[in-house]
Amino acid sequence: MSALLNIDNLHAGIDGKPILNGLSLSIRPGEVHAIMGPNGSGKSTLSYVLSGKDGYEVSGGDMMFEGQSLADMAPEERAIAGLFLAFQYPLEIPGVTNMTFLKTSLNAILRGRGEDEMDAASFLRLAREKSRALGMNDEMLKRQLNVGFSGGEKKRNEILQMVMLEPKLAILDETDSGLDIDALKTVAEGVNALRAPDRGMLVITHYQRLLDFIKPDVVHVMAAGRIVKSGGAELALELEKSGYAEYVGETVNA
Amino acid sequence: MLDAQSYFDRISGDLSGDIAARASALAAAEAVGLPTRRQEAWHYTDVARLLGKPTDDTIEGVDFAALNPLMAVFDNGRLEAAPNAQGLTVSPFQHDGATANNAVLNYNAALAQDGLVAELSGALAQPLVVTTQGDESVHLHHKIILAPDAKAVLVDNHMSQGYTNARFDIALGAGAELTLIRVQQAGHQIGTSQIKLSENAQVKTIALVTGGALARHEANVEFTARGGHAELHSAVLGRGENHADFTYVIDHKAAETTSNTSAYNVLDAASRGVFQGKVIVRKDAQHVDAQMQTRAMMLSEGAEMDAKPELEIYADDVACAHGSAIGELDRDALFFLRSRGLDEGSARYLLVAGFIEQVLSHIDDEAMADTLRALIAQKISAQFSVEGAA
Amino acid sequence: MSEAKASIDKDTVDQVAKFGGEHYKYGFTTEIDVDKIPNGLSEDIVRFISAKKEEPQWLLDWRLDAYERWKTMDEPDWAHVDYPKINYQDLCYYAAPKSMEAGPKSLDEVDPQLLETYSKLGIPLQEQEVLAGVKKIAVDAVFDSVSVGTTFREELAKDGVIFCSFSEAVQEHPELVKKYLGSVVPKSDNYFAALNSAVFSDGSFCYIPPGVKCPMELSTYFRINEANTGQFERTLVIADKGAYVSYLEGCTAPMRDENQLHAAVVELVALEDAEIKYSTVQNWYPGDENGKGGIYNFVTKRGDCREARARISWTQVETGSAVTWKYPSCILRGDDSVGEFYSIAISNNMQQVDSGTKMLHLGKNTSSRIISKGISAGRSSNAYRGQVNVHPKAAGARNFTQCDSLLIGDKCAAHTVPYIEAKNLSAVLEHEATTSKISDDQLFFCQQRGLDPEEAVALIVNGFCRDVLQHLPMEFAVEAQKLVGISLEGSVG
Repeated sequence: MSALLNIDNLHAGIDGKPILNGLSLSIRPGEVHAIMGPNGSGKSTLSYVLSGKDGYEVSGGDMMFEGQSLADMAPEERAIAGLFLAFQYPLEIPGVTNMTFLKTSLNAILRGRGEDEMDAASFLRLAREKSRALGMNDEMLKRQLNVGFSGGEKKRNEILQMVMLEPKLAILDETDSGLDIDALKTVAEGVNALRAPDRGMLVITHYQRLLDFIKPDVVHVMAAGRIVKSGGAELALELEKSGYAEYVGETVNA
Repeated sequence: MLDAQSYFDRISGDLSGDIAARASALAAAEAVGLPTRRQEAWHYTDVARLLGKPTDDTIEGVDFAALNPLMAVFDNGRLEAAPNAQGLTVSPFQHDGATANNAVLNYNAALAQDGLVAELSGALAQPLVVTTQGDESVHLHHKIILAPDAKAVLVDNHMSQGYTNARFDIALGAGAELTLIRVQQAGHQIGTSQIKLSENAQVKTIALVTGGALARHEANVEFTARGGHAELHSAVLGRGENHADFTYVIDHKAAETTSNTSAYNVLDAASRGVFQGKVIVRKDAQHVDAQMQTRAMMLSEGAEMDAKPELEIYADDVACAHGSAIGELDRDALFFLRSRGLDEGSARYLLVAGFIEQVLSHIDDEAMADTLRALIAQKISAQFSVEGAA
Repeated sequence: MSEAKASIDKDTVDQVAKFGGEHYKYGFTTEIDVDKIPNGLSEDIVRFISAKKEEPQWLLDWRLDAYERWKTMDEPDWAHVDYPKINYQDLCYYAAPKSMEAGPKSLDEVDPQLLETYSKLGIPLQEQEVLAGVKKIAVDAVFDSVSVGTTFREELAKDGVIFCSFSEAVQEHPELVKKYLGSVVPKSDNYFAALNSAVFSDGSFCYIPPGVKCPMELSTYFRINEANTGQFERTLVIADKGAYVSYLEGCTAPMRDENQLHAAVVELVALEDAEIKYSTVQNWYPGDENGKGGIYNFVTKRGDCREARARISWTQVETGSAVTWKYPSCILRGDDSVGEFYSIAISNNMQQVDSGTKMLHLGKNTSSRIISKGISAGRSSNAYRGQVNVHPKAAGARNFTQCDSLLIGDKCAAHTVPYIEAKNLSAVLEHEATTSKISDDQLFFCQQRGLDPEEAVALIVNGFCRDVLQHLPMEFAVEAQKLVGISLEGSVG
C-alpha cells in the first residue's frame, strides 16, 4: 500500500536557524508512529512544518501527503486534505464559543471536501455525543474556546476536535504533557477509538508513559533534527531505561 | 454648526424656553468655542478637524422592531410621536437654559430643540428605543429618570448622518436598574451623558461604534450613595478615517460602590480609537472596587490607538486596577483556526467577532444581543473584507 | 471588618504617625564661608555665572538664548502638585565655598571642613581608603553651585574614561560638551530645563570611549548647604559605541524651614551597542510633618538611545523632597534599542510626588519596560505619570508597564496617569496598574510571627518594591532598603 505521509530528507528551520536536518519518515494508512526525543530535537518544529505554520522555512526535501506535496498548501488546505494537529499548547480564543468554533471548523472542512455542510441540529447531536464520550459535559461546549480551561480540559478539547473532524492523519504533539493519569487514559481512549485501517497517527512525546495506552507500530528516536533510530514498540521501553544520553551525545558529534 | 450664532438666530423662533438664558449660554460657549486639543480631556480628539471630514459610512437598519420596542424617533431634531406604555411618563421638552462649565454643554443649552423627557417606574417590559435620524445639525437634551426599583432597557440608536450634540441626563433612584445600549454607525456626534446613581442603583452601558468621522462618547458617572454598580463597555469597529473617542469619569463619591469598564477597539485603515477613563475614589469612599480594561486590535498600518486609563484615589481600602493591551491580530490564533480548516478570511472574521463578542456578551437580553450581533456581523463582513463564517 | 482587624489597622496608622519628620539624619548644616551673589535673576546674573566659569562665548550665547526663551515660558501646572508660586527673583543662583575660589588642584587641597561634610554623609572622598572586598566608586561631589572634587580621575583616565566636573569639561573637552550639551534635552524643552540651561553652575561630566566597560561605578553626590539658594546642576553622560557605564546619584540637604529649588538636567547619550545604567537615590530634605520646608525637586532627566542596540536603564528611589516633578525618559531612536524605568517613590507626611517616565519608540524593534511602585502615607500625594508612544515607523515596538500604588492610612492619595499611544500596527503594548493597601491579614500574620507593626510594614513595603530594588547596584540596594523603612517611619500603619 502506498504511504499516507512520506517525508524525504526534509530540511527546515525558523529565522534562518536550521532545525530539521534531513528528516525522513513514512507512515502508511492504519499505522501509529511515535516520535520520541530529547527537548530541542525538533519534534514540535516537525509538527508545525507539516501543518504549515507561518515563519517556518522549508529549505529542502519533500513532504508528500497522499501523493500530494504539502509544501505549497495553506494550513486550511492541509486540514481539508485530512491532516490534523493536536496542539501542545492549545490557543485560547475569547469571545468565540467552543460550539461556534467546532461548527465553523467542521463545516469549512466539509465544504472544502465538496460535501454538504451539517445542519445545526445534527451538529449539536454529534457534538454532544462525541464530547460526552470524552467525559466532557455539555457546559464545555458553551464556554469560550479554551478560556479558563484547565490543562487537561484543553487537551481533551483537542481530542474532541480530532474526533469531530475525522482526519486521515493525526499528529499529536505532546498531548500527554500536563495530564494526570485519569485524563491521560480518557485522551488515549479517544485516540484509540479513532484508530482505523485508513487512518495514520503520529504521536510526538517525550515520555514513554503515553505509549502504554496508545500502542505504536513504529517508534522513532529523533535527535538534532532527524530520525536517528527506528524500531518497534520495544524501543520506547529501552529509551525509558537508558534515556536519550547516547543520542544526544551523537548529535553533539554530528 | 460652525457658525453657531447665525444658526441660533435662524432657529431661535422655534426654540422653547427662556431665549435670553439660551443666548447667554451661547455667549458662554462662543467665548471659548468648541474644545481644542489644548484641553486635556480633548487631547486626542481634534474636533474642528474632524467636523470638517465627510462621513461615508453606510447606515444599516438595525432590526429593533423584532423586539417589539417602544419607539421615540427624533427626525432632524424633533420627536415624531411620544411612546406610550404602562410605567412610562413622557413629558414635553422643557428647556431649562442652565449654563454649564463647558462649551459642548453650553452649545447644547443654547440650541437644544427637543429631547426625550421620561420618567420610568416599575419594570418596563419593552425596550425603549430612541432613534436619532436625518442629516441636519441637531442638539438634543434627553432627561431620563428611573424611579426607585424601576428597571428598563434604553437604546440610543444613532442613525444621523449630520452633526449631533446629544446630552443624556440620567438619574437612577434607589435600587433602579438601567441598561443603556448605544449604537453609532455614521455621522459626527458629540455625546455627553451625566449618570447619577442612588443607593444600590445599577447602570450598564454598552456602546457600539461602527463608523462616523467623529464619535465622541463622554460619560460622567456619579455614585451619590452606597451600593451602586456601574458597567461601561464599548466596542469600536474602525474603518477609513473613523474616529471613536470614549471618555469616562467615574466618580465614586460613596463607599461600597463598584465599577467595571471595558473598551474593545478593532482598528482598520487610518481609523483611530481613543479611550480615556478616569476613576476617582473620594476620601472615605472605602471598599470601592473599580476595574478598567482597554484592548485594541490593530489591523492596518495607519491605525492608531490612544489610551489613558487614570486612577485618582483618596481612600485606602480599595481595589482599583486597570489594564491595557494593544497589539495585532493574534497570529498563533490565526494559525490554529486555519489548521482547523478555516480559510484566512473566516479565521480573521472569527477572531474579530470573538473580540467584539466580549462586549456583546454583557447584554442580558439574548434577543437584544442577537439583534446587535447581526449588525456587528454585517459590519465586520463589509468593513474588513472577510467572509462571514457559520 | 472585624474589631480585631480594625484595631490593628488603627495601631499601624498611629505608629506611623508618631514618627513625624524626625528621622532625616542628613539635616545638619556645614558652617562655612561662602561666596554668594545677590538674589535675583537677570541677563547680568547669567553673564556673571558664565564669567565666573571662564566659559567660551558660545556657551554664554547658549545660556542667554535659554534665558530669553525661559522668560517667554509658563511654569507647568498639569502635575498633581500644589505649592505656592515661586518668586524666581527671590532666589540665589550662585553660592560656593570661598575656599574653592583658590582652585584646589586636588582633594588634598580642599578645605577639610568640606571633606568632613561628605564623610558625615558617608560619601568616600579618599581614594586610598578603599577596603578590601568593597568595590571602587568614583565620586564627583557637588556642594551648592560647585564641584568640590572628583575621585579616581587618573585611574579612570588610563581606560580613556573622562570623569570630571562639568566646569572642567567645558575647559578641557569643549568639543565633546559642544557636541552633546542640549542634544537630548533642548534648552527650551520645558520651563525648568530652560531655567537650568540659563543658570546651571556645575555638575558632572562623563565620557566612556568606544568599547570600554567603565572599570568602576561612577557617582555624583549633590549637597545643597546654603540657605535660600537654588541648585541647578547639569549632568552629561556619553557612552560611545560598545561602552558601558553604571552611574549613581545621591542627594541630601539640611533641614530648613523655607523651601529650596533644585532644578537639574541630566542628559544621557548611548551610541551603538552602548549601555548606561543610571541609578538615583533621592533623599532631599522632605520638609517636616506639617509640610514646612523641604526641597522642590523639579528635574528633567532624559536618555537618548541614539544608535542601534543602545540600552538605557533608569532606576530611582525617591524618598525625599517636599515636591517632586520628575520623569526620567528614554528616546528609543536606534533600531533594537532598549529603555527601562524602575521606580520606587515614597511619600509621607505632606510630601507631593508627580513622577514617571516617557518611552518614545522611534526605531524599529525597540522595547521598553516600566515598573513603578508608589507608596503613599501620611497626608501625602503620589502620582505616577507615564507616556508610552509608538511612532508610525517604529515597527515591532514592545512595551510592558506595571505600576502599582500602595496606600498607608486614609488621608493620603495615589494617582495613576498613563498615556498609551500606539501609531504602529505591530506595536505590542501591555499595561497593568493596581491600587491597594497593606492588608490587615498580612500585617496580622507578620505580627503573629513576632514583628512589631513597623517592622511588619517595612517588610511588606520592601516586598512590594522588590521588583525595583533588585535593579539597583548591590551597595545601593541595601541602602535603599533601609531608606524605605526610614522614610515610612511614623507612616507605617
